[in-house]
Amino acid sequence: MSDGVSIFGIRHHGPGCARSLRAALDRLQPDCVLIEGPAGAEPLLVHLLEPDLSPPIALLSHAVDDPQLAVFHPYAVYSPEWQAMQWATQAKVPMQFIDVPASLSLSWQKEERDANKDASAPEEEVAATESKVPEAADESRNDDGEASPETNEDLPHDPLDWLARAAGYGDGETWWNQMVEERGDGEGLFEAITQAMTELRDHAPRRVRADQAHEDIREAHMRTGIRDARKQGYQRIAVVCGAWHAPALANASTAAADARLMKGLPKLKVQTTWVPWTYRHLSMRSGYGAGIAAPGWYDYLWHSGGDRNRRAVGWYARVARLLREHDLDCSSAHLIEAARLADTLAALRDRPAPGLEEISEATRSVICNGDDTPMRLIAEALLVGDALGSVPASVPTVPLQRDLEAEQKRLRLKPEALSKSVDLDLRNETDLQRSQLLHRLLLLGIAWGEIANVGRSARGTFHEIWNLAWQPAFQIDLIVASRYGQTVVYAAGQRAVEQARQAEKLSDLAALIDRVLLANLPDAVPVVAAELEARAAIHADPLGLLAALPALANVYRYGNVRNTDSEQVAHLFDGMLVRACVGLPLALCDLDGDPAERSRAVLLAADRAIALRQGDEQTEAWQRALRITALSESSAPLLRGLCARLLLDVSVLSAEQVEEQLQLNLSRGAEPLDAAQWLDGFLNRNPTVLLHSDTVWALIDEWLSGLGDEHFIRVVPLVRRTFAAFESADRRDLGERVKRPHTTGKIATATPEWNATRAERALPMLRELFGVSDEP
Amino acid sequence: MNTAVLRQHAEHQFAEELAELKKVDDRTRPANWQLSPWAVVTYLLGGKLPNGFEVTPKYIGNRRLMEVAVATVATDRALLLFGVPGTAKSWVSEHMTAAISGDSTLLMQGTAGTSEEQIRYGWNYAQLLAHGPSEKAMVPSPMMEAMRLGKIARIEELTRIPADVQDSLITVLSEKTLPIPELASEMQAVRGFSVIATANNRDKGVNELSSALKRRFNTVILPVPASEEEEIAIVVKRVNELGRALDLPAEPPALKEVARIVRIFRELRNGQTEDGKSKLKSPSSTLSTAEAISVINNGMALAGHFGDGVMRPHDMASGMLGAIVKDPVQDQVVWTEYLETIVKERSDWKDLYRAFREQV
Repeated sequence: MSDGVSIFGIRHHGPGCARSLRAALDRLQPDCVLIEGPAGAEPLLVHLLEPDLSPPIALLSHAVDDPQLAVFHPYAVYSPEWQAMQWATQAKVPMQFIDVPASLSLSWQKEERDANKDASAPEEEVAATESKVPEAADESRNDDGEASPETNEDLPHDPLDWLARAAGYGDGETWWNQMVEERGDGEGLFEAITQAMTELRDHAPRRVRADQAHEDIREAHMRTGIRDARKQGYQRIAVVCGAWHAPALANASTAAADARLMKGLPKLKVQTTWVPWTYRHLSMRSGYGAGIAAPGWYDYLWHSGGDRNRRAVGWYARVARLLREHDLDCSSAHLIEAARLADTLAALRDRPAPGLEEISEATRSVICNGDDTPMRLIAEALLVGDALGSVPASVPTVPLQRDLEAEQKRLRLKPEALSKSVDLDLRNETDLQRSQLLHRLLLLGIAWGEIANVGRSARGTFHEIWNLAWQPAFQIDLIVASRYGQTVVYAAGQRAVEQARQAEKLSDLAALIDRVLLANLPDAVPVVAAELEARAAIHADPLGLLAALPALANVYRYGNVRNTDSEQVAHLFDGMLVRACVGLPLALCDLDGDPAERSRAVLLAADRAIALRQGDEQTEAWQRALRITALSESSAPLLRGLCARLLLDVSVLSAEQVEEQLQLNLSRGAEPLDAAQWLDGFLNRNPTVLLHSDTVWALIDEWLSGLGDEHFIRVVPLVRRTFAAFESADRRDLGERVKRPHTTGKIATATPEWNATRAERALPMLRELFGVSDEP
Repeated sequence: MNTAVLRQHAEHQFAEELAELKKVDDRTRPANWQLSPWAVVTYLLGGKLPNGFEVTPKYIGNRRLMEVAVATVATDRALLLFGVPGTAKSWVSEHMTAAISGDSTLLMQGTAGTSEEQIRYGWNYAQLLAHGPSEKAMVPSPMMEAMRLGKIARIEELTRIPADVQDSLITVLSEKTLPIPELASEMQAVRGFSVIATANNRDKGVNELSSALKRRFNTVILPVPASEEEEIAIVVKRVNELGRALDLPAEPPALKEVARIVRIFRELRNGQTEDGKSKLKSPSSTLSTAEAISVINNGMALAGHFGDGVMRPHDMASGMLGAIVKDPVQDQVVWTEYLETIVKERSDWKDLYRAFREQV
């Protein structure tokens, strides 16, 4: 079936292939272009004419009833398929997708998922299904984004690896780059590829794969597509398909045999649309499994044309620009030397021109002085790149939108533009789910609802008051967010994970944990928690650690209302607390002014958080750290006072010890300013304790009245300053308190008087209550 | 060859290997190179030659690093080997020069007292006074010799050399010439000349290279051993060799003890636990493989002379503390944190934890 049909075996996302393909199409001038893509998606091709449709974009096909069943066909500007589509659109030549329709591939996916359901966690499953994206290096690789269990471990996974090994390369990727993508010429390229693949298909051990049958069906479907095109009378048919399939499409198989293969296949109801894609998603690192390592490099290869002599230099110029933008030194001389080293390395490895590997190694050695940090910057910004595609408003809606609509319907939350207030009672299942939906949307950056903290006196635990206002712009936000997932819950989880990786401050991460738990995203919690733990471990500032505690303590204490797992949070909390306590006394040394003031707020918040934690070991570690601070000479007086006070409140420091501290710090020899600060910290801007605790009252009273005249006069302004911070009503109460005579001249003890006779009277009733028999 | 010397030069010790390599090496050699770049890489990393001769590996690690290093010298650029102590920088530099120039003796040891004369040239003052400035009165430095012969000069610990002396290298490296104003002449380098310097990147800031000088070097960072097994193997091998050499009375410790020490070193050095589950702070100390070896030696000596001849956790605890806590304030925090969060949690490390607690 070769007459009139030209088969171009390409590698998906190969710029070299794309360039050669364009040239070949120009030469051939086909009257029909057939592309390996999901059949039935052709109606979407009209959008190619719209200027707003710019790659990287992806064809997203998803099952109507189950949006998480989805397959992406991403295209970058240098994807041969994309170039073929562009060529056909410009030449006004009909084009067709000839791979199996998405309805079939999704039903396979569903079968596989159902089969794995017991074996694997849902999270992994999603990853596996999404790695079915045909974006891999070559066709055979993308079909096994996940390894089939039967595959022999010793055999190379990728058939290209066989050729690469034969040619003395480490892996197929490098070899293919060197041989195809980074080459300038395209003469005879496709014949050579087809030949190589024919050899491979004949000789490489046929891998035992569960989906080999699927592959056969796909190829039969493609052959049928070619046959149909010929029946329609096209004379010069161009077929663009993955290199691995090229030999199979060229071989003569009867229409009847193909039809037999394709009989009675299951079908799902499917919808297809364009979604914006990013280079990051194209790269391997996104967790999407198979992909290309350096989309940015390919982009450069595509745009830089085929001149391989100038290629390295052009790339180095981009590196130089990037580094200079980040204030890193990079001179032209660096570039010259880097280019020379790359050339020599290529010669040492018997390669005609430096490839990406040689260029990167020379960059590291010459420009970055062997340092990995700028290399990471280069990898992020240049090798991967931050390109984001766009789609016109006229494309069909994405499943995420539909999922949200379904949720809104189910939970009877109508999107209305007018702001309205809703009171959610979290003990009620529907309200709880509503709250979770709103929290998820917040994570996705869609601020439909806003929590109003004002209003009802019901503080927090059971009630949430939201102001809802739907804005039309949220539709677009949903399209943008759809690259995170096809359902609100999955997308929110993915977004949270991304935020966790990007978060700069520890307290942001702790707050994120709170939000993730509020949104009930159990899959995202461990990831965010692990990130927090890792950051906490290397975080040098104990105060930063302490600042992150309150959010965690809230989750721990109030999490149960929302049925969240508090154990994990407790573990995190404890780990961070231990680390903070080790370094705290050192961190509080020599602080004054604003830093001390800020630390006071952090310490107070952390103290409340630790009280919420209610763990003996934690409290003890905390108190030990406070004690060291309170008694140390070098800590700021304000904080020493505060620590003494916190410890007095929980009776860790006895009244005598505190009195000693008080006298020491307020004594004649002490700097007046330090003394005032100590007192300020000790009183903690809160007169109630002074009013109600006889201990504290007596301590201050004794100290003040015990002062000599001269000293008293020196201290009065400072004390006055401290007391001026109190409310006037409080001050009045303090005045009243002074008027009342002392019950005892000594320090009042906290223990009440014990009357044994009266206590015993309660015993019979207590026995009855606890169900204990008479006498012990 | 004198067999009584304590340690032979690389080119003598491995003379046979170099000769065999030369026999089979038919690739193009840069001017004045004894071997082709390909053969130099083979010499460093070991391998089997076409004639069946086995070349022993000199460097165990990443092949790409050695390729970059050799390619650097082939482009007549200077090479700077960077790394923490104990990562085989000098070793690689010696073997590279032995393979490329057949002579690893053109060596300058960088110290705070290294003067410009030691890098450029000095004068024989008797000659100078008797006959005035002349070629005869000059005392050439190894650098000058290397330039004259088209060989490779080695500089050890480049960053310890005072900054103004370092900068005298700039002309040599960029213009490949050494001006001699006293004689109104110069020494122009013969092809094949290059410089391999080593520096310790833990001592950054000792005399950090000026950016002008830095630009004239290609930098290759030699990493610490990549895997725990590799490092344990190196430590066990060296401990056994050293123990014999020093006549230590104790038994070399069991593999389990070595593995624990290596793990502590690796975890603190890498800033995360070996299972990759939790992150840690790293102390300011280097924690090189060489230090792990000396901790064990120290522990063996303690056990042999003061203990029962078997190394116990408390024998190595003090050495360990000394190796890890170099800064009494910050490192102490790091170490305590590590003890409390990691060592304490490991159920089979209880004995270690107790021994360390006593020290703190």
